[in-house]
Amino acid sequence: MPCNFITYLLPFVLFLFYTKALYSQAFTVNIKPMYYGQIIQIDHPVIDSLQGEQVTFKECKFYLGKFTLYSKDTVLHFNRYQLIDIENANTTALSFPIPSSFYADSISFLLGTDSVTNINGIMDGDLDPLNGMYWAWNSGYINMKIEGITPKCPGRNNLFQFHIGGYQAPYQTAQNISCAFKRSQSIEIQMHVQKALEKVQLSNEYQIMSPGKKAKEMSESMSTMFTILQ
Amino acid sequence: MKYIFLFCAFGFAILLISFESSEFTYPNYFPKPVYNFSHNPLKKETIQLGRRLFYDPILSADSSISCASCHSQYNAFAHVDHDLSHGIYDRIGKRNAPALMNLAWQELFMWDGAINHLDMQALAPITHPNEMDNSLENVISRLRNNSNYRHYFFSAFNDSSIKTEHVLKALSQFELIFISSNSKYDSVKKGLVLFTEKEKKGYEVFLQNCNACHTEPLFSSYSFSNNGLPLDSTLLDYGRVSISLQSADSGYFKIPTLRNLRYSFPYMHDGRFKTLSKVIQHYTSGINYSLHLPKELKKPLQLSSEQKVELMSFLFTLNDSSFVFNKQFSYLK
Repeated sequence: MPCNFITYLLPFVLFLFYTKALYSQAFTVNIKPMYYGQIIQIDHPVIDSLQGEQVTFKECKFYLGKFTLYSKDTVLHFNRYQLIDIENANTTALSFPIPSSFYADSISFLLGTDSVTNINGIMDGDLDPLNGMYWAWNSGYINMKIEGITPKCPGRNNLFQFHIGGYQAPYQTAQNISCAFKRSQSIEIQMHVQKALEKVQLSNEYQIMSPGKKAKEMSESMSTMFTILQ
Repeated sequence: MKYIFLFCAFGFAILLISFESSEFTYPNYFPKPVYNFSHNPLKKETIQLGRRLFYDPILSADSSISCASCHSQYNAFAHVDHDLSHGIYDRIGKRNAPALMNLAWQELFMWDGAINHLDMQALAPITHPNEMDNSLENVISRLRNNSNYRHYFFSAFNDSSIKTEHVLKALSQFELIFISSNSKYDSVKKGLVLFTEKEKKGYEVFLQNCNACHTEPLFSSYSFSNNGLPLDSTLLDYGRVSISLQSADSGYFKIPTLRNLRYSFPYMHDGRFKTLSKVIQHYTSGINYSLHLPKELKKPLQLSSEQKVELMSFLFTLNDSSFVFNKQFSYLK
């Protein structure tokens, strides 16, 4: 009887180990926000190399979600949202479980949250409104938040504030991003924040804090921020 | 013996089923609720927790007002006698707090539909400077520092950590049981009583003139419309358009239910009409003709004075005193 028991159980246990081993690897993504080639750190000034202006970022938070990793013959979906807050290093290093033999050659993800997430009611974790990325007065997530100060900005204390969100047509702000790269299990995604601000003149457009045309336009600019460094 | 056992088991099963649904029962002529209960299954302890939160001024910045301050049960959970509701420090808002009932059948909340889910609704008054002027962080930390609440949250969710999700879901659960379905109209529907002659005629007037927007049995389609109110130049409130950003929604507001009108005056999004006869007068002779008026109101309502009286007597059959005096909804002592 014990012999039988082991005979039946052993393959099962081995299978468990096998599947665990299968997904023992991780695909890692490091997010690095940059401004004209300089790494952005909260409260540390960086220079706008075109105009020589100094910019100090005070906040840079955004949702990334619905990650998909592609290899030649496999597609892996990760249906989760991650709130990236560049002030918190734990949030800028992402890790996705993959089989050890898996090497991706492209990635796609959503910058922001999709409409279903916006109308589903209350959620926990990264989607908790406690994270300050939810509009209580007009239901919906703030998909991206960029705040900072620069001398040419005429706002109070030279502050610019872009809280970009909105999920309803025609002003949806979530953007699909995809990037290709050389076969790998680890990439760095650089986010060139100057691209987000290129189309607005901080000297006259320095706050967007509700859904609408301006928010949508800025989200489109933001969709061009991403490049891969290997 | 076997039969007795089976009979008992059957009886017990029936008892269980009725107990399960006792918190949320509605008449068979109501449509299916739109609220997704599978994300937030009703539970006695959670409803009670929601009830405590609803009546607790801990939610407001200076602990002076609770949800019930603007949504009192005796007024069908509306704010009686104020055209514009006032919140903390006597600050006055720009709209009349709506009556709360049959919320499980509604998808969008607030007069302009700014809130897209019942669970998210409470965030707005908690954080609005003219209402509770508080922050979510502050509410959560106050609740966490209260050992009674840690205990209540544990009974409700098997988790005493007190998360936003649980605060909002508990409030939803309490509000979901605000079902008003015991008016005289309902008794007639259930075949228990008959309308008087006058009420019956009023029902006919209602069906011909009002039912397109105030659709029975909930007495609202819960969509948005422009009912021809002249713009109040002191408020400049254009309603739905500020949220939908579609110019066609200018002057659109959420269509309110006609249930419990006796308790929920004054009427309209800005509480401009104190009496029902003023409301009816608006529809017969006060409509402001604009581009955005829906087709139902393009022609003024033509009602004889007799018909007006009949319509009023029908509208009175929608008052549900068992709702406003239901002990399950009152302050938890």
